[in-house]
Amino acid sequence: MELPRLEPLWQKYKDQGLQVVAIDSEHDTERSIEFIAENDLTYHLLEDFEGDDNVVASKLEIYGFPTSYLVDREGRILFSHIGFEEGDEVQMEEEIKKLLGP
Amino acid sequence: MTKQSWTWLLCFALLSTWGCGTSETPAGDSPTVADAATEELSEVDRAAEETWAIWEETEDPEVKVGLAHDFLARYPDSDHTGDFLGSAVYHYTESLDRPDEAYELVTGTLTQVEDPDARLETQMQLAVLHSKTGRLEELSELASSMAEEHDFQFTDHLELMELATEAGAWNLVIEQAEDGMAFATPEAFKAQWPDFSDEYAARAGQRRNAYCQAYQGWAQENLGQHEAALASFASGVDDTSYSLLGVDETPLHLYWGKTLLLQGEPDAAMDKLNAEALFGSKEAKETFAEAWGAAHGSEEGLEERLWALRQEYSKPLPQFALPNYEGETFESTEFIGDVMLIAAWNPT
Repeated sequence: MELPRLEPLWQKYKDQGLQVVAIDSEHDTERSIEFIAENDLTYHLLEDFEGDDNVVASKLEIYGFPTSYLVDREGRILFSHIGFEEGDEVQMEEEIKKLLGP
Repeated sequence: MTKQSWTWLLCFALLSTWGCGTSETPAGDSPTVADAATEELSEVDRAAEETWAIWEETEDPEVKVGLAHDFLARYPDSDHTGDFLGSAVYHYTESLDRPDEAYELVTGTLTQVEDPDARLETQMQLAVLHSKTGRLEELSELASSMAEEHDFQFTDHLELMELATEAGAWNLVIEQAEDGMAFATPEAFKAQWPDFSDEYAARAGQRRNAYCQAYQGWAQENLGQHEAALASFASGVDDTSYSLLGVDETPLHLYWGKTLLLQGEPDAAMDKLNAEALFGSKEAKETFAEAWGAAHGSEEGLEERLWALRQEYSKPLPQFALPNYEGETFESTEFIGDVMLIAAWNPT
């Protein structure tokens, strides 16, 4: 599961200007809140709208989970990860460092 | 694990691309959990729900396949047959490396299944096993008998194209692609998905053609039909669709690039693979790196090239506003100036 692996990245780089934003598209609010509490997630956690207003599908064009986008300081999507495998967080960290700059 | 995330897992297992049958329709058009909850749950649905709840709590593939066995022993013939079999087959083959036991489960279940949909899903899992274990003749025979028994939809042909491609059963790929092309029309799409608009159906019909041309082209290249392969890709390219980041939603550009590389045209291969290598599948990234090596003699300069391409192909983050769990609204523009990692997830 991807989300708990993002917590250490957020803790490590938030002071340098990293924001982590997770969007939940399942609409099972109770379950999500439970998951967030169990894993002590402290970054930004948002809940998507249902149907046509669904942001993840209609605006971000994401249809499979998990998928993540890495956005630079100018608001451009520079990296994406479709799916998440053990060890992907290492590459993500490299990319984050690259975008945070020196 | 829910059906939706299982399907997604299957896509990854088979393809590692967006080229998956389920991407035919946007997310959210299947019945949701909330819909199911408002109806009276049957005994088998309740049992399935309870089993999935235990399933999600464990990471142990041994426990997962055990749960699937238990459920299928009690209810071999239900709406849930395909999901449980598919999940068990995945773990038997990917995590446990015991395909023989998966065969036993699937063939044993098949003798007890009468519902046509459940039969088709069970047979498809048998096809998955034939594909993963390289039983090409059995795969072709099974595909023929399935087509005889069932009224195939496009997605059935597509799934068989994918499985045959994985296995390298090239003649079967071409056969399935040809059959699939008969469904590459707005009318055929509407017949299966009547609720979609004419406009969506028109695009979906075209996209079906791109899928077929992609698989057919790659099969032709593997059969030594080099010119025919290039012609297939060219005739699908206007029909394909692209994601927000410009990645082909079908495997057309991936297989086009792989084909050009095999044909000794690494620069042309990279041209087809730019967006795929940046934002697409691992296979696309690897193929791009291989093409770079073929064109330049080493991997030197590859990282710099990819970084430059990234600037060129990057897209602005679309604006959106969403609530957090406390009801406060978050605006996507709030963090311009920071680096943002946006992760789309679901809790199951």
